[in-house]
Amino acid sequence: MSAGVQVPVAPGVAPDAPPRRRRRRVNLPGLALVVALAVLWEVLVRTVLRAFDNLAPTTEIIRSFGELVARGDLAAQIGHTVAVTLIGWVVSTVVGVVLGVWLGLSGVAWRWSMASVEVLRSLPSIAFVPVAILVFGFSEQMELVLIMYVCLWPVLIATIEGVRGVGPGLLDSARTLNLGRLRTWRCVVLPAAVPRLLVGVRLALALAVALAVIAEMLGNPAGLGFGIVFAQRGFQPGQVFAYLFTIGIVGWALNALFTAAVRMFAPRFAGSL
Amino acid sequence: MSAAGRVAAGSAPAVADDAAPGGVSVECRGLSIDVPTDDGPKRIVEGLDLRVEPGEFVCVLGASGVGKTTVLRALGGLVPPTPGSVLEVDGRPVDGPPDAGVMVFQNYASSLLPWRTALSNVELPLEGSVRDRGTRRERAMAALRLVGLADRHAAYPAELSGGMQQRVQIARALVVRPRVLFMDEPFGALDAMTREGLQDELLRIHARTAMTVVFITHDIEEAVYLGTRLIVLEGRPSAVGHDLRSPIGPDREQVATKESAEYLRLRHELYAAVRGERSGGAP
Repeated sequence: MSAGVQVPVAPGVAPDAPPRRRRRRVNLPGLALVVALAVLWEVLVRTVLRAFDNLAPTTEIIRSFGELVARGDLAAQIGHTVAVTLIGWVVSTVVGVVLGVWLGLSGVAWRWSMASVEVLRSLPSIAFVPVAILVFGFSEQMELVLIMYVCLWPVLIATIEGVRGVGPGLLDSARTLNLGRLRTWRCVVLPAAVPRLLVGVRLALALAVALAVIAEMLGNPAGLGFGIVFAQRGFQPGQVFAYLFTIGIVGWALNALFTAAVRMFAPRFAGSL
Repeated sequence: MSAAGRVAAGSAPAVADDAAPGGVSVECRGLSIDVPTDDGPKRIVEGLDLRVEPGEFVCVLGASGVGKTTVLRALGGLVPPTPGSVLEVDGRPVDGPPDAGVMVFQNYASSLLPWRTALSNVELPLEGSVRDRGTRRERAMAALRLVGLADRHAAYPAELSGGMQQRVQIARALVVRPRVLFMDEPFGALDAMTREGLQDELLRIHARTAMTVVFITHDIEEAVYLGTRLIVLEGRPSAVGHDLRSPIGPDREQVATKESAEYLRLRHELYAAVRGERSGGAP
């Protein structure tokens, strides 16, 4: 594309505002609240919630976290879960986009497959865990296949909707300007589909993390999902909570990385996320 | 691009000569158009005969729902007429959007590519035909200059006002050096001040390029001010009800022209024609 000056200005931003990058400053009130909640939890667990034997106070969670890090378990488990998540997500994104563009552009293909897509995508993804274990056994393969299958749908649906949802005004313009079919796809239809597509891809990433953890809990003895279940079976409340927060942070970090990547490589579309 | 072209791109008046291949004729004989509805195809236009001479500025009026836009979309090759209709641009049958003609739509916001800058939007139609990037850019800049938007070439559509966005759309149409412009209520969504400014710019561009313009509007004042000829569509299905030639000369000015006797007389005549259709045509 040949834009003279690529300034990432979100729609709605005053056009004459200087194109300054929004600087991330430390959110002090937000940080203070986190600390306050941690202290509150410590106090609650040691007083009001005493009856629950297996609740870990904040200090205990931090201690367990340190232990897990020191043993080297946590790094390996994070590595496994993140790797499997990313591989499954990338594969299903590529497949979903290619398939989605084809289904979105071809009326015949869409008519034939619409019913199947609608049924398959509305099946709850968790229900496929036993199926995947049955077919692939307790293995990494099972985990990967599960993630790919589940991630495929949001990407596929978002791509189809994006391609089919291109405004009639844009298509009329493409026709009256005699852009031709190929150029219409490349310059009008595909870019117009990108915002919806990105939403689907981002949703798929969140699903990928969730499904990786579930698959590790139920099927594949590795990664963070296995870690948290193992700690639970060994009655290690401190570790269970440490894993819980680790999983949360991994999911948050992956999402943040994705958003940052979009902002860096496709700033015009960052507003659609 | 030749040296002459480079010079042309540097100054606005010369640019117009660069983009001035003159107008072409538009003709339809026995034009009928069916549009699909839930109860099968419905005939919107029947037996419409019209010949637009090269360089004419024809304003098409009519009550809403009479099929003005449909006729224009048929002329622009976006809607197929029924078999047996004759539809020609520059003597060649229309079968899809003609090379010589470009449409300008009322809804500028949905017609521009929001992810491209104004300049890049205007370059779009050249990307298939003009290989050299520099030439493409020069021509697009010249078109933007023609509509007075050269200084905002780097802005995205969302950063421009409605009137500016419509100018970008007009520039995008002009950049392919069309010989006929099909304009569908292009100023309908703009405020009165902006609209008058754009009307004058369009008249200026028309005078310079001598291209043919078919201009749909529901605004009688606008039609009288702009048109060299005025067509009123009436009936259901519709056809040409009135065909008036404007006595107003080519030099038009918002205040003086609108106070002139010819303007007032034509306006009166046109009101009568359109109102007659409205009272007679309402079910």
